[in-house]
Amino acid sequence: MQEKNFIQRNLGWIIPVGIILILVVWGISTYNKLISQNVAIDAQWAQVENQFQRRFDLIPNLVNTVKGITAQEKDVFTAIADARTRYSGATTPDERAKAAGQVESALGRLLVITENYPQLQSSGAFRDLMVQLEGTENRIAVERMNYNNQVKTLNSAVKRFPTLLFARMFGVNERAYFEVSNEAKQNPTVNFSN
Amino acid sequence: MKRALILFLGALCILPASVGAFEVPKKPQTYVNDYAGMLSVEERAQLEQKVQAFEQSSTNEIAVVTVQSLDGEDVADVAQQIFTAWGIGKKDKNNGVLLLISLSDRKTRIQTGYGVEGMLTDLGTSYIQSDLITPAFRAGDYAKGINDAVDAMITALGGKNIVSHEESLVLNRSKTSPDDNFFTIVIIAVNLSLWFLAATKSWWFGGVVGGIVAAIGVFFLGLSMFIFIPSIIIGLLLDFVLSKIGVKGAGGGGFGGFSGGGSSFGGGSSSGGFGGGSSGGGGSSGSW
Repeated sequence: MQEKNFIQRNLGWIIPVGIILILVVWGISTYNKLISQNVAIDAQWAQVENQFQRRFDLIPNLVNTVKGITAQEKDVFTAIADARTRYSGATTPDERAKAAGQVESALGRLLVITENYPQLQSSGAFRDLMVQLEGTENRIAVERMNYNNQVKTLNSAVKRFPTLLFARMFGVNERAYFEVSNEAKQNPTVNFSN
Repeated sequence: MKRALILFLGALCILPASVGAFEVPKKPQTYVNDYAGMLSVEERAQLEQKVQAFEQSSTNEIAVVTVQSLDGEDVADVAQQIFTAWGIGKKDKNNGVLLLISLSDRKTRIQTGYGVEGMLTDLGTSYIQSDLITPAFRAGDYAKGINDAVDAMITALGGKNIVSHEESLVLNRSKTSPDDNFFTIVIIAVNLSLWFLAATKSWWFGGVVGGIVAAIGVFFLGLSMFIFIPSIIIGLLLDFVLSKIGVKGAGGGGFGGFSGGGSSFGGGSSSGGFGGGSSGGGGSSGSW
């Protein structure tokens, strides 16, 4: 009987305090979830850049193998060297993604050119390089897809109703998808230089 | 080859948005899944046995999948989809390899998990396909091509990846521990609350205990907020029942029997089914 009286006497503040407690716990757990999603996106971006670096490191080998035979195709080599310099000079993730797109399109052009050189096609070293390059491109695609999936998870959480309130309160924003730049999107054409 | 790569570079651009026409089969319990019927029953069984024995000794998981068609998709994409959907390889080692063969497209791919990229390199997978699979397949001997390829993969993986049985036991244990913790918490909470609830004659205290249990769940186990509602209701109900019956000092002994059951929920069984590993797109493709 005593407990009942205690409850009845204090009902006025027990209920609001309880509600506030639940809201606070909810807020904290939502906040933590949003933060760990953001951290996961950063980590995934690092994975993407890892693979960019792998491609970046492959380029000198590729250029050296190809250059002896295709020396007259100066434009492509200049384009690759430029893109490579731009990539190593890039400081922000945005710049790096853009530069990586340029590397990708320059490489695509080089690959089109190599089709015209049968000596290359039958070279074992060239073939091995192609396998490695293909593996790297594939890895980039996979990591990019994972990155975009994680951004999607965060963005839909930020946009959905209950979490939306907390996201606004804590200033958690949507993150940008990694879209492939227009330059890289254009399929390489053989007649790039006249 | 170059053409494929160029197409591939082009395909990269649409990859994130592409929704596959290829439908990944349901996660199987076997390592060898011959959907295209390229192997005889005995050949399939022998290969399954070989791959299983290799998994037992090294924990590496090799999946062999034959499909009738890729439904117009790139072989690398399909391999990645299957790899991700099935989780080939152990979850914490990502030591899976997938050999995918599409019969009507005459295409193959060996896809490596993150953890084996160093041992089974892209070049290695490329040579397995060009030197072992392609010649045998051209001669029409599918079983020889697949078997030689699996043998070569086992050599590449087994030579350097010596994982003792002891270690794999440790892995299994670490996998089950979160579940054990969870069950311990639940058991303690149940025991404590029963004891409290029975001791107090109040009807409301159970709701408070339910709320506390739910708060613990949300904080420490990352459970959803919705756990509050059922938890409080269950607490209230329990308290109501216990208060009615007037159980005194119910606790410890009666429910101790639960604690033994925890470990069996850990999963991670050793035979059949894949361990949840992932691939970062390593490997290479081939054709015959």
